[in-house]
Amino acid sequence: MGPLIPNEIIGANWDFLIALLVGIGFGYILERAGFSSSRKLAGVFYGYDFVVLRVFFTAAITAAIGLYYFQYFEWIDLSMIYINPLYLTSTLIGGVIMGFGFIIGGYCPGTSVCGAMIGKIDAMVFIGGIFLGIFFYGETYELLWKKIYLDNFLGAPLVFDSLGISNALFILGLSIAALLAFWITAQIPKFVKRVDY
Amino acid sequence: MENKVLENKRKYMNPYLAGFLLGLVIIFAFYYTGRGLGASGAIKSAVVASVDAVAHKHALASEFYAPYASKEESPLNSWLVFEIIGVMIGALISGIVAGRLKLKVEHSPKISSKTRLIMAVLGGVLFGIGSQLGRGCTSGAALTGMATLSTAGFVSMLAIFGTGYTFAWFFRKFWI
Amino acid sequence: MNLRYTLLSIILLILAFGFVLLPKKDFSKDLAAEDMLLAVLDDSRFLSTDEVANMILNRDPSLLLIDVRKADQFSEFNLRGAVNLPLDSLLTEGADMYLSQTAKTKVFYSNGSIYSSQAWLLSKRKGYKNVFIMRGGLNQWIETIMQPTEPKPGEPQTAFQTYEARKGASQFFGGGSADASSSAAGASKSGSPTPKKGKKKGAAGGC
Repeated sequence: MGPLIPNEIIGANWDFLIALLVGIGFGYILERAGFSSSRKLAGVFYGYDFVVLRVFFTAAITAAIGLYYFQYFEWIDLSMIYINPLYLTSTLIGGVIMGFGFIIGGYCPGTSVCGAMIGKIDAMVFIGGIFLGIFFYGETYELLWKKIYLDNFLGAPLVFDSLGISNALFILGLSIAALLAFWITAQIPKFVKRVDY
Repeated sequence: MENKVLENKRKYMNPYLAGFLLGLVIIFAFYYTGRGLGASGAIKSAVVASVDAVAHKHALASEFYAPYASKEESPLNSWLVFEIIGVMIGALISGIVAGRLKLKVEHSPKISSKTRLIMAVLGGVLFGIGSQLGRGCTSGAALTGMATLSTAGFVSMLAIFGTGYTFAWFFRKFWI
Repeated sequence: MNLRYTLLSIILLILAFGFVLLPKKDFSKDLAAEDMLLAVLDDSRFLSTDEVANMILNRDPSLLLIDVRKADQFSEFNLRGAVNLPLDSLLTEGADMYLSQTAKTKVFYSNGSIYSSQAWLLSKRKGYKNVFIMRGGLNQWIETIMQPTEPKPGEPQTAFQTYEARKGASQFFGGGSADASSSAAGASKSGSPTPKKGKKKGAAGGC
């Protein structure tokens, strides 16, 4: 039963090879879907290109449905996978800062790597910026961030528990919400000015 | 122009297909290693390795670097670093296949290349800080977090895109 | 074009709806989030250093002290009779051996309260009963038990009683006087059973 490496079904020395394979898949798909272009990414905020929303939502739903079916057939033990811990304050503030970073810089870390690899100079300097940002954070961690970083720890809850519904109902709701979002966003470009890039 | 757009369209993968395949990659990652995707973590490793190389004592004294710098092995010897090397290879392959390899600064016609580059650095800095505070970036916290249906993933996603939409209007001339 | 997407949407909906129809299976031994919150809000998960010292002094047979720090820190200094279950080994079978003994009062401690609180949260979620945190951890232990400060005249009687008890405890643990050096105090390098190193490890963080 998965996850195979934490369960020691296959050896830990496979870990890095699988990391590489996962990365290749991730990078190939991101670039192939057009995530290497900042103006294509920014389109999601201005209504001229919804590729981010489509890829993002489809991937999340595919993975969620897949993982929970895997669990149902007992192919994977979901209690052994990494669930992001919820520190409400830092998750929210960090998310807001990243939101500004996204709308100003046009990339996120993963997509900037893709952009840089196909020669986007703005993506390269964006990575430089991330480097500086993390360095700044590291230098000022104890001074500025430590308190909010550790504030409001709520464990590692799952969203359907937080909402108080069953996982099945949540997945169904999420799927319907995604389909609605896909349908609505397919209509929007008719009403906004086209942007060529 | 029309032709170029059409050509680009053809070369980009259908977004739903891309999303589906990306979902399979996430399942694959979880099934084998119990963890999802990430990107900012690798850059963090690079930062820690650099600080450690330049000022080892300083790295050990800092609460932020010490957990990584005090280990025997290099902080670069981590899962996420290998994963990001994979991302580079994958992106390069795709770029070659689609014929998109080209050195350029992509920007809206309303701003200069220089403005775009300054904004890119600024956005990068913000993303660097935000990803550390939020324990992961768009791929690690929001996408992977949503795939596992963790509350933190959804909070993170709403915070990132909520902020993006709220303030998009102020930054519109950079993009459209 | 539209037909294709309609078909795909239907497939997605069928797959998602499948969960609703599937009979319920219970995978988790976990605690529901609401119960978790109640437990977190409840202050009774803490034991003071005084209470812990008292239990050790009285050789309380139900006490099981669990040191969640790293093995090297543990071997440098630990509380008498404590077992070492570093935080990352907490979900292993080896740890389960200790934690599943419901009759024992299991008390987590670390240097401060952070790691022990995390250990407590984890074990609560895994459904272990009768788990506590030593408030303030070893820092508090050294401050209150190993080096108690004498209350000033005029302070309430209870302060003096506490001081007396602490003074006694600090002598018992080898500190002796108030200026006891903290490094050797209370340490017992042998005699604590070392837990079997568990083999299964959960996955580490993402981004």
